[in-house]
Amino acid sequence: MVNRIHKNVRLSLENKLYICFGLFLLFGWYKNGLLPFLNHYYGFSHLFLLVLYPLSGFGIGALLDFLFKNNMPYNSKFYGVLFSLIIPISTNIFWYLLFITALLFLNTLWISKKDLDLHFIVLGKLLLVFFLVWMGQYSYANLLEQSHLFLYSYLDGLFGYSVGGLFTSSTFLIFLTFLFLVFDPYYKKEIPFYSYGVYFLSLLGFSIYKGDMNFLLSHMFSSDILFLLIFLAPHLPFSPYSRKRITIYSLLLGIFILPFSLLTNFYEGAYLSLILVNLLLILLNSLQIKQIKKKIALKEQEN
Amino acid sequence: MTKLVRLDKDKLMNQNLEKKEFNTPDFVYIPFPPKKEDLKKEAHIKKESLLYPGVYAPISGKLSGIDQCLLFPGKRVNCFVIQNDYEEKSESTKPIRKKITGLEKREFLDCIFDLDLKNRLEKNLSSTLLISGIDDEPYIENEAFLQRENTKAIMDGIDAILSLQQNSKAIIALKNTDSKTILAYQNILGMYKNIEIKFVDDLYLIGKEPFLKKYLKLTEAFYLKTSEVYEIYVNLKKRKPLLEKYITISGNGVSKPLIIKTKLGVKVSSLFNKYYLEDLMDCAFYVNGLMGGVQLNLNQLLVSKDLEGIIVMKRVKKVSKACVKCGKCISICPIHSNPMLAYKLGIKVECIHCGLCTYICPSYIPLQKYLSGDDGE
Repeated sequence: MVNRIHKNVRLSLENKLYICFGLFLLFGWYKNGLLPFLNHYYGFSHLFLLVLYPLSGFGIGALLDFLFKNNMPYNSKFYGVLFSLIIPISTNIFWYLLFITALLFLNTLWISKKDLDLHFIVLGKLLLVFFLVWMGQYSYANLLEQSHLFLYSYLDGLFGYSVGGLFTSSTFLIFLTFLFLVFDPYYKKEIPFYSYGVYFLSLLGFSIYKGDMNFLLSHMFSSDILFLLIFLAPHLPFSPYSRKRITIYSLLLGIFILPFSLLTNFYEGAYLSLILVNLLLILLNSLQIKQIKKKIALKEQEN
Repeated sequence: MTKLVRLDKDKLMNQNLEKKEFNTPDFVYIPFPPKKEDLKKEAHIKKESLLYPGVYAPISGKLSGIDQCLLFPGKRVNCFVIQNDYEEKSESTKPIRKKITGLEKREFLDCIFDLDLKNRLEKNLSSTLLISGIDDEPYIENEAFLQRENTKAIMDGIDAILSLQQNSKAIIALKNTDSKTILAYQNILGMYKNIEIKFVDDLYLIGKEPFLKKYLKLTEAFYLKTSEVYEIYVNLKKRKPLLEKYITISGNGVSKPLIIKTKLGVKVSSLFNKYYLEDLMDCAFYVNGLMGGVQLNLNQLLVSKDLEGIIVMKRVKKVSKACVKCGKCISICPIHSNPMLAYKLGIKVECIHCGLCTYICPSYIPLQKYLSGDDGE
């Protein structure tokens, strides 16, 4: 029961994120469903299949929320939708369902109960990618894109006509939603600002070193990296909350993206960087808690 | 020090605030001093007579027994009960002072009845006097009302304090949104050359000593609240202790918000019985405000110097959610404490009980409760 004064927030951050996801879903459905369908690359059923990814994620999440009734910062429904946005286009619905169910169970029964800050969505995406690579089904391009591969211009890429996650290919929409989120008092806007700044500088330096400014142009607005920096890295439960740690976390994330992307590719390099800084954060948190508990024990002994 | 914040308040809550006076309670309750000294039962007590060092009788009447009462912020105390004889026979026979300026410091201090206030005046008086006329707690308007009703007395009180030191000046800090109080001062400000008014933004905690001094860059100034200045005025002018207090009763649970001038030692429940006929069973009572106040049962609560008001709120079915780790409670804390440590690990952390962490929390976690080191319920 709460009836003190609270800050007036007309629309919670969670609801704002749902609105953003809705826009991504609409554009993703158009780009990866309707457009290839109109060009006769997919059958009519593909239009429904695409919708099935977020819907089934939402449904499984809702079922778990109902069954376990855990008091979690963000419910499983939310993560069910979020995961469906970032998966590679080639992900089979069956594998997707298997992964999302396992991930949501993991979060409900272990991560949230132990209050770990493990970014299980990022971890899940990386595991799914490893699995798809192993199965020989790894691809971010739909059939239409596979037929015209690399014909997109930079401007096309900005407006979403680029190879990317199932529903996250529109850089323009990502910028638009960032503008919507940046004014929310609870959104950790410093993380995308700092980390993108560092990433951009490293990209610029590398392009100058290579003498290839096309490299900068083709990677500075990568929708997958921007989506990760704007939606996944600042996600409240898995990101740091003190000013000092936010700065360290963002800078490290920005520093790691380019080398990891060069080592792997520009779709997964950022995810690897994020999981690495996320694990560092968990380590720092546990060390801090141990230190505090030690101090308290010492104080109690003195008393 | 952190940047102070402007609170999101319900502007309609204190609309049509009415003033009432409740000077004839049937009983008043006087807490025992730390070392119990028995007063004779049935003894007759005169108004304003000294009962214990620093404790005076607010009414005249006879001692009728002992009762257990509650003092803000929740301390249980045994009290003597004085039954009012409504005769208002006073102990003091001294005439009203015509002039309160130009007193010798010793004479001035001897007139002050409140021991704590006397000590502060004795030790810390400096050439700049900073008077806070600001109510920090939302919906509590005691200081503002006191100033509007007693503007001349407060100005005279400040003048009397200034006359203790040569070349001293006073600054009255008012919120720039408090137009009625500003207007009350503007009418007579020209008569006092050493007193000036400074306007401050409507920020929470701005009226508290460290924050106001920092805001106005007056770290060396001697700080007083307008209610303390008024008390000094009454002590000097009328040569008697101030045994009355303004209490604000407001909130969405009551039909009309009131400012009640009443005697110290009166039970808060008697004020409710007199002025509110509605059923308040389904309400929560926040003593001293919704931000820094505490939720208490009013049955045995007494009007004391620390009590500022009661905010009555209808109970709402809003459940606290899990912490989203936004970190806002840390960034908003004016003393840079970490309320999350208290919430997650049960560690007692430094706290001034301002309530900002609870205010900002998007999960509606009552962090204030955890900060005191308990489990929250």
